[in-house]
Amino acid sequence: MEQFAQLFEGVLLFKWQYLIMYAIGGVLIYLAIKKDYEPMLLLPIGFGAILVNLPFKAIWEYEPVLDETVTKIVNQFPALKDYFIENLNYVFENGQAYKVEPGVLQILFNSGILTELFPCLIFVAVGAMIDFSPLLKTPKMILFGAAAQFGIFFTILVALIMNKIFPGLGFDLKVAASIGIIGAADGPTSIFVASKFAKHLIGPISVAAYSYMSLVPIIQPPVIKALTTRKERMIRMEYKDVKVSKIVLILFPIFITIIAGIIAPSSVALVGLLMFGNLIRECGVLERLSKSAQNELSNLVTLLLGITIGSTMHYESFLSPTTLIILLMGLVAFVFDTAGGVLLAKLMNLFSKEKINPMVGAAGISAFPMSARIVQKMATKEDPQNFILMHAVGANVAGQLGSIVAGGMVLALVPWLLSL
Amino acid sequence: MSDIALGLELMKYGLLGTFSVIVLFYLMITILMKIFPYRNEENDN
Repeated sequence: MEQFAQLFEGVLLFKWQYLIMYAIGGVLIYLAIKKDYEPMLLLPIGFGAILVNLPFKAIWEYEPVLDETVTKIVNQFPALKDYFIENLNYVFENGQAYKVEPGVLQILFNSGILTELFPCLIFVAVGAMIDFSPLLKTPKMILFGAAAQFGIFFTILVALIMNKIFPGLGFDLKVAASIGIIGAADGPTSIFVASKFAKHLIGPISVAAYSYMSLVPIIQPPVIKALTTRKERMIRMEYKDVKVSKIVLILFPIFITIIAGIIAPSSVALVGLLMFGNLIRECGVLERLSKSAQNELSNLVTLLLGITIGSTMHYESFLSPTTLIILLMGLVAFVFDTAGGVLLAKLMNLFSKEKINPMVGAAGISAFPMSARIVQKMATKEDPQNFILMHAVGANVAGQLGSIVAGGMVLALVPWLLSL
Repeated sequence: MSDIALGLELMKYGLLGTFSVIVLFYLMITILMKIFPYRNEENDN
């Protein structure tokens, strides 16, 4: 009878919370397949969420095995217990030491997320995909890449205020910074910062970042409309098709890396690898590497990143009010990012002769190229002859830079402020 | 310092820092575009 029960141990250990996680995973898969919302990430994340919520969690870790040698050592030297738990995957029950070997997804998590390897590799791929020439032709647009990071800092503040009202949330400065960085509208940056400051929240933060990036077409238009008049949305912008010399395209990533490295050293891992990818693209002699970065590297890392992020969504950590609040905070971040960009454009219009269509400011978020397309679509809706796409693309690629710089600032400032 | 005060400081320095770096990028782009303008020969090459 006991052996028979062992056969069905999975059924006996089944928990109702698993069903909720299957539903959440199912929704993500549905959004990916049916709605085409960031399918390359939401589908693996959704499936990862299902995988890690199966009885025994076998894909995350193997069954504990009794280790008599370690049991004896720890009984003799109890001070070593914490070391075995933290560094060598041991658990202790009734004075016995059990070795828990990591499963496939935990190995990927430890080596790809905790080391920040996956987000950094993604940046090489992204850099190889981005053409910065629209920004080089209209350099003023780079300012929107900074303004549209306002949501990050505003959300950090909101998270801290929420923590003051509901102290049980546990949003200290580090956690609040990890939540606010959802506003970078840039998955790898969010994962990078969260892996430094709030490892336990990587799951909900990543899901929020990628979900809202795919929801940019729904989030941005109402905010833009609320902050602009029809007349402002109809502003036409002259586009001078200045050609960019090859040497500028090559020097740009090198100089950006040096400047960012000197001013914001914490951002080097991100900016440096983004610019490395871009240099491969622009140098003209590494076409094969550039194509590999854009295709093979990007596809492979995205695949592993998605399923690994999904595997952090175990019900014990995911099904909590904190997750809901993080999702809500993500929305706040995207709304105020958009507002920051639009309001800076309006401010610039007060002092500038050449008027800027304020909608272009909203494209300063990092969701590329979706945000630029939305802005152009809205412009065409108001005036079918209005063509602001290239300006919006310039602001949008500036958003890539702005989000990384803001991420670097958060990484540098949080430990500094905490040390004061 | 309270957490909210820290958040305000983070917002102040964070936005200031981000804008400073971005303005430096802007100046760099402007200078690069001035020093190395596009020449027609590039097309021929």
